[in-house]
Amino acid sequence: MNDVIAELVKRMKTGDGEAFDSLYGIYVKKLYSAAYLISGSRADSEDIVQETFVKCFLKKDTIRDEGAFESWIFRIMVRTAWRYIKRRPKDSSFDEMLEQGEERYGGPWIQTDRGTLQPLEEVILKEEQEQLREAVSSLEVKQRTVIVLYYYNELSVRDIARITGSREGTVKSRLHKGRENLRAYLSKGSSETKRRQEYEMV
Amino acid sequence: MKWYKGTQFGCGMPVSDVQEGAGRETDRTAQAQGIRKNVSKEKLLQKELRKLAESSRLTQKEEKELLSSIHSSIDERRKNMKLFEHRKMKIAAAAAAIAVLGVGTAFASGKIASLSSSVITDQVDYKNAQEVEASDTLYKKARAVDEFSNGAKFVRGFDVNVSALDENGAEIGTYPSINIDYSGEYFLDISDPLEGAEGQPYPAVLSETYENVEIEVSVMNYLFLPPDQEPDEEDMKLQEEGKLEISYGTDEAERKTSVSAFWKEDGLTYCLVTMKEGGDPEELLEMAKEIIAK
Repeated sequence: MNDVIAELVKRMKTGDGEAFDSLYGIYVKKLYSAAYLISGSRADSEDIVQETFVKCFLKKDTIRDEGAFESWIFRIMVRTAWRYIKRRPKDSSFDEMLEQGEERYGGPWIQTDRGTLQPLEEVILKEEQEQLREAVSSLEVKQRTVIVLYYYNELSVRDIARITGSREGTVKSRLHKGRENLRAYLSKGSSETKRRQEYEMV
Repeated sequence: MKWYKGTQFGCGMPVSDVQEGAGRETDRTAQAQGIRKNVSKEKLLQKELRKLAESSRLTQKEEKELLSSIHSSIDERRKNMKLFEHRKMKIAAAAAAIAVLGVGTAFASGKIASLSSSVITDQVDYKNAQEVEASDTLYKKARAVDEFSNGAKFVRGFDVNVSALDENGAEIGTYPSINIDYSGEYFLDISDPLEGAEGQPYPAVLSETYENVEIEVSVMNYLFLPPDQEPDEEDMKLQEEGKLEISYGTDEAERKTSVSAFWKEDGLTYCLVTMKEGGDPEELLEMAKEIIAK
């Protein structure tokens, strides 16, 4: 696959429009999803991805290593996403993600070992999902970015460092803090849920 | 009275947090509730992020529409941008490059989307006007002066190769050009452009016919950016309105106003450009006349 992509990038650099379209087909989903997780806004994500691919084509001559195309295009996407986020009121669009999550997933996201859940369990799971969404949105944008790139896109610390323009140590630190903040946020939420569970069980 | 502690998926607190006395019973309770025990916290986070992302996937139709928007945006940008590659080019030399690439945006030929030139500014081909006029690069037809009446002096001249590119950045053709530096403030480009590569000049603020040669002088605001820098929305809007030219390839970002005199004579195209503070259209017009009168 890497050879295929490197070959497509080489062809794109000569101005081959078909090669560009092929690369679009390969990367659009993962770039869009990452943009969505980072920005929390569907509308912004479409703009971010559009801008990313436009820049990809217009700056194709600056690609030095065809084999590193993925981190190159992710770098463009992340920088563009940060610019979009900077321009709007702080995390306002994460309200959209919270609402969309509820609309798309009328029920619980999480598959459980049993096919059906008791009403109380449904309520608990739905609350936990909301908590996760809120927790992700509560992260500072660069922590959120590394969490998304590491866990969702499964990129290496080294690649993430290149993409975000930071050192590997900084990436690790942001990952650690991001996890800690998520845990702290969710623990706070879980204490309230726990109290309710205990009350219900008594 | 029974009690239990729930397991939180998000933070993945292990069921081992449960009090030991009630451990086995609590495990069974956890299983009965269908909650995964053995998945690591990180795997859970990964799973949840994937589901979060899935809540807003693009449909196939949306992907196609997005690609179409991307193509349109690329076409639009290529029409408005002049891309040229000058590694480590100083702002002063940008005026030289503008002289080479001409004034205006759209090209007479629909096939040509942009021009690209390569200039090695420390390689001097011409030391004076006489050498320029004797050059085979422009078939010995070029005209130049050693000094203008306003004191601007011939410093150096060099050959430039200009490439005309299509919308995909592929080279359609090339044409020759000679670029002359006058006192580091005025740049004269003389070229024999490809058909359709002359470009539509910006609206003239001043024009005059002198010795059967029509001279047009125009003014344009420029924003020079390094290759990896992006213009902000306001500048993009000005560019779309035709009030700003954005050019890439300089080593730093800077705003300049260019004053350009443009004319054709004896099959060659002349473009005299200055970006000095207080550039005056009347001054450029007089300088153009001095070359025509030669």
